[in-house]
Amino acid sequence: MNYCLEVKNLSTAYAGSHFHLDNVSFSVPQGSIMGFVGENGAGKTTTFSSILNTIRRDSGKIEIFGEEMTDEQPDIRNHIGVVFDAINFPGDLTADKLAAVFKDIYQKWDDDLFQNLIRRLQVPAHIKVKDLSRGMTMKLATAVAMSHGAKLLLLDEATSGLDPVVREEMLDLFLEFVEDEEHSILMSSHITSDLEKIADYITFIHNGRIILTEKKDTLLYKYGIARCKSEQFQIVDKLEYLAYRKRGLQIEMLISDKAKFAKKHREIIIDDITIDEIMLLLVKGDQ
Amino acid sequence: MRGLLRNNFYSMASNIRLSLIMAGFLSLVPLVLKESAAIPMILSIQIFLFVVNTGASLRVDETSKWNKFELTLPIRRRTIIGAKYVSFTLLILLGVMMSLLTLGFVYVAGFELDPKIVIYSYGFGLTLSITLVSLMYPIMLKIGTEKNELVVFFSGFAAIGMMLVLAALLAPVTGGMQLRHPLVGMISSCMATILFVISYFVSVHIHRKKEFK
Repeated sequence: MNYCLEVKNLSTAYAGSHFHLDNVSFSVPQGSIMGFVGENGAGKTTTFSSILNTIRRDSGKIEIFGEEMTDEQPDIRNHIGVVFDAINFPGDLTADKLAAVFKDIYQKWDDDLFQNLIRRLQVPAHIKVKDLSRGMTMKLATAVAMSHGAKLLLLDEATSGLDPVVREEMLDLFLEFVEDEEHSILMSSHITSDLEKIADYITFIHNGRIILTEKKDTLLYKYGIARCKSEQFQIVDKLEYLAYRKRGLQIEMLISDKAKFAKKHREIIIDDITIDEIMLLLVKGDQ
Repeated sequence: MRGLLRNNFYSMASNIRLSLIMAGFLSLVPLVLKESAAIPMILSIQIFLFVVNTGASLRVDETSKWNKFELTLPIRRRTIIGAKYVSFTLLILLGVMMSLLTLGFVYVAGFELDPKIVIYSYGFGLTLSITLVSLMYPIMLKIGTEKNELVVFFSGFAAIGMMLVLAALLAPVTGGMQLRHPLVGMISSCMATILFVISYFVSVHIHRKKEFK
């Protein structure tokens, strides 16, 4: 399998903070969308910043299209599109002025594609960034990220704070982007329902550590949530669940193979699971 | 670099427009003056008028997180810094051009200016402008732009302080401490230019070490 992004044993610590990334490793296969999930402060943005070299890393290796991205080799960034969870652009610029700026920066800036995208997303071309709504700003940032021949999009909370209609438009764009199976996306989001719609893989991060990476379909169709009473829980082997938590009189277990578990424990109820529930059990539950 | 320069000037467009109006107005002042005493000050102010806005522009870069975003572009960090210094240079040149316009109106108005005073005016204006950006930019890069007004004042005072020190050091040559001596203006301009070059390398160093979270 070809990977467009490989993060190997990444560790980063902030001066004056207890938080650190601890041996973070994951890979984004070419032609796929990977969702990057974690609670606030789990390390999503720090991981993105490390990948993009906007912060220093203490150890580890990051390869994009098989190459380490350093300050002395900026050409590789022609193939990366980035959307941060922020304004991104100077407030006094309009979409048209931004296009003029990026035309002189990116090797393969496609002005026709950019104009088509902002028309499709209904981003006004002559209004200053500082006067645009958050939704419009994020759409504009997405249009920029997709208009210079990028093969990898790094989207840090690109859909958070947007209404469902705008989010749907953005998700459609992302799906079109990976259609040819050459393009890939790493997308962090709090809104796990978005990731359920478009992601191929989900990586969970908690307290600066990767706790699970799995195919989304495996998570949704093979993983499950088993609900039982305390006395039933006593007879379940520890190896049969990934995490559990007590909710009132009931115990919920995250299981990685619901068919196998059901065969063995016919008396225990097993439900389908959502990405949100997996995250909650992994983060809040005990092992 | 062209894209970065374009971005820098787009970001400062409204401030530059305002400075142009003010500098244009100042250029016309000699036409209504009855004596030439204020003209040297006008020339110095015009040179300084454009770079003084850069503090606010750097603050916009920080608050909009553009300074983080530009690190994701296919450009080196030293190119980002280089574009800033080229922009500063162009702003100072714009100020010089406006001051030349003033000299044109001085000629039209029929004033005769002492060349020594003109040299001093340019020396003072250039020293103030160049020293200001040379100190202001690396300091803001290091500590952030929250205190940009304070940094601008500090840099301006440092420029005047440098001229005073030079005037004192050159006193044996200029016949006593004469701040308005052309030699003080010329040497202080040269010192400011050297500071500008050093400032570029210092800024590159700070930027390479800086983290943009």
